Amino acid sequence: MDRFQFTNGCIVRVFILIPAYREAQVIGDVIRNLHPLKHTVVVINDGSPDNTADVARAAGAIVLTHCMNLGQGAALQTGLEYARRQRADRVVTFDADGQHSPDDVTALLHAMDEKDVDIALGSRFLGKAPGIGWLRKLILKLAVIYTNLSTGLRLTDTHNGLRALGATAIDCIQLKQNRMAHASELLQQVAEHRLRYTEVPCTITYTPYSVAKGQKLFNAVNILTDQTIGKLHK
Amino acid sequence: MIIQFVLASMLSLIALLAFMRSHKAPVIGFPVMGLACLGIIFVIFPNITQIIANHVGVSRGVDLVIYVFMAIMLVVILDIYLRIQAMLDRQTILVRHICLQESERG
Repeated sequence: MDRFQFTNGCIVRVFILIPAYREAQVIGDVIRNLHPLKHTVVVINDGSPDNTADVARAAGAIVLTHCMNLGQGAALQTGLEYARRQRADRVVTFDADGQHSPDDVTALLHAMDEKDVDIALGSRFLGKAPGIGWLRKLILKLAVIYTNLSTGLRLTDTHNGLRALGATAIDCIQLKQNRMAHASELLQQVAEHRLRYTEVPCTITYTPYSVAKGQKLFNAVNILTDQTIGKLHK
Repeated sequence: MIIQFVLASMLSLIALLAFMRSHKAPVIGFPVMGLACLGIIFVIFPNITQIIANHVGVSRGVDLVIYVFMAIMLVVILDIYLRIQAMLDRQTILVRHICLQESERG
C-alpha cells in the first residue's frame, strides 16, 4: 500500500516517477532500493530498445511505455499526467541511473509538509555531490545564475532531477519541452504560477555508469537553444 | 543564351506547378508563382536587376538577387522549423495518449 504520513496524521498517495531510457542495467536496483519507502513507483519507459520495461516490471514498478523515444521531459509529463489521473497527492521525480538516494525522497516530502510548500527541489550544492567534475560544476553554476535571473527564483541547483510536487504543482506543471530543457521549463512554470518552493539538501552520486549515461556538458548549448526556440514557438 | 533557356524553362515549370497547387495552398502557391515569374523576367532581361540594385544601393544586380534569395530562404527555413516543431508536439500528444490508454487497459 502506498502511503506517506503527514505530520498532521493525513495519509497521502505518493508516486515516484522515474523516466527511463535504456536503463536495463540499473533500473531494477533503483526500484528495489525504493521499496522500503512503500510508495508507488512508476517507470516511464521512453521507447527503450532494450528490456528496461521488463526489468522495471519484474522489480515491482508500474511501467508506462512510450512507443517511441521522445525525451526525458516528455516522459516526465506522461508520468505527471498519469499521477494526475490516479489522483496522486504527491509526486517525486527520481532519476533512473542511480544518482539519487531514496533517503532524499523522504527528506523532500518532509520538507514539503513542514514548510507548507507546493514544490521541494533537491540541491546537490546544499548537500553533497562527491566526484563532480570542475567543468560540470562550472556549467551547473552558470545555469543557476541564468535561471535565477530569467525566472526570479532563488535557487542553488537548477538541473536536479530530484523534486517533490504537491497537488497544486501536479495540476499546474505542463511540460512542453521534450528533451533536457524541461528542467528549466519546469522552474519557469514554478515562477509563472507563483508556486511556493523550497530547496532541500540532497546527495548526487556520480558513478562511471551515470556519468556516461548522463547529459553531455555540450548539451547546455542545446538546452539554451531549445528554450529560446520554445519561447519563439509560443 | 543556353543558360537563359534552361533557367527560364525551369522557372516556367515551377510557376506552372505553383499555379496548379495554388488553389490548395494559396499562401505558398501564389508567392512562389510570383517569384518564379519575376525570376523568368530577370533571366531574360538581366539588366533589370542592375537597375534595381543601383536604386537600392547594391553594387551588382547579382548581389541583390543573392541577398533577397538569402532573406527569403531564412524565412522559409524558420517557417519549416516551426512547422516541424508543431508536428513533433502533436506526435508527443499522440504517443502519450497511446501510452496512457494502454496503461488503463492494464
